[in-house]
Amino acid sequence: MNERIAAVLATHGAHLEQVTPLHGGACQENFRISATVEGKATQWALRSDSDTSLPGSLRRRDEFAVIEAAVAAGVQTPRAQWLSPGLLRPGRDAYFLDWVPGEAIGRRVVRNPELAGAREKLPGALAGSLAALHGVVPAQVTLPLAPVASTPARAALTQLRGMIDGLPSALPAVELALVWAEKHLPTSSEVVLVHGDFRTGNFLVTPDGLAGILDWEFAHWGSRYEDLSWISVRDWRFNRLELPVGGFAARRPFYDAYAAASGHTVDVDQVLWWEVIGNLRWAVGSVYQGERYLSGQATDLELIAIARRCVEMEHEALRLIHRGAL
Amino acid sequence: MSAFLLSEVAPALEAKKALQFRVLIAANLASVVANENRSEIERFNAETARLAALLKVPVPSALDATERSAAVEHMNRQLITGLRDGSIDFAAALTHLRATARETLAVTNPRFDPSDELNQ
Repeated sequence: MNERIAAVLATHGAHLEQVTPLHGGACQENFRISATVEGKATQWALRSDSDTSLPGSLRRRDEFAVIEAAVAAGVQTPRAQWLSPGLLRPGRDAYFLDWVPGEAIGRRVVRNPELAGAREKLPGALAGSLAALHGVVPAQVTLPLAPVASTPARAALTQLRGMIDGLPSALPAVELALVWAEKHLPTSSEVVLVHGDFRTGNFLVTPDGLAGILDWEFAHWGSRYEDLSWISVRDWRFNRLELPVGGFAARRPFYDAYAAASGHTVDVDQVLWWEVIGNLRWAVGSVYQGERYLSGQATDLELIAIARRCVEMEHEALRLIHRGAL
Repeated sequence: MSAFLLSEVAPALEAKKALQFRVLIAANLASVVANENRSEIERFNAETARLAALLKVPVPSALDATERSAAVEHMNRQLITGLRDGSIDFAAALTHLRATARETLAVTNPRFDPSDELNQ
């Protein structure tokens, strides 16, 4: 494996020094690649397909195409380079990413004192990148992503419905929220490139501010409001509940910065709708994790703790519905 | 069980952080389950009283935990049917479900802040 990595680097004038495994997740393997280019120390991240994949999660080759489009549009995210089929495993793609130092761990991004100045800059920087990302539309860019069959909102409800129908117990709070969601369904058919997991924990921060947006594996064609709302889902505030945007900012500055950068005024009713959906997705997803443990598919006790969070997310969805407005 | 895990096992695992983390999760879960067991009948009574009022059916009588669980599941499925066909008042159902969530969270996660005025 190291010989193949060294060979790819060599064709680009780099000499491999070390390959260090990083935390990867279920569907990919990540490594830190230390090398020298003309004597100067350089680093890359290396992402490879593993042997398992999750539905709704992009393969590396498709992720690579999304990152290229995002970078071309001006999104602040590390560049993807040198797509390499079969690099680590036969039939599995891998690619290299510019290495960007910074802190991504959510609880540190929202709390570390040395990042206080950075947190003030985050709304503007993130809004700018999101606006650039949402400027990528199917009419202009061809990407290996599924088209939206109806409207993004209808597709989201159908997907949630599918997740819930597979569960053993009745979830009346989720069902009530779906009745509400059906009644207030956004009618917009606008489709843009969506990050799909845009939240604190998926971007790097240094004391100077935003360093890069990460983790494009859930990118898809959809509604810009998915990204605008997911960052406010309760769990992604990392307990800074009074700062609804990512646990570091109020809503107004973020939405105003987004409007200025994109020319699109944020419709807070749509943010509310997608935020309810976001809390529901997380609630139902957490029940799934618990079911994986109970069915013997997985043995990590943490999955049971995650499953019990379902009631918290249900409560948050109901709270938003009860308020009826942000 | 929770006390054993926290006071004897976890400190001995300082060097094995991943395992220590799981021990803390297990201790927390044991404590939560103990709290749930202690309050389960009161919560069942409160929840089924509200459900019975919404569904306009009698309050169920149930002898043991398995029967209680089955009774709630049955009533919840009726609630879901009624919500979908509009025969149950949405606002009343919302009030009931918020109360049920709060009663559960008071036991499973007392530090959870259920206030409606979470800064928006």
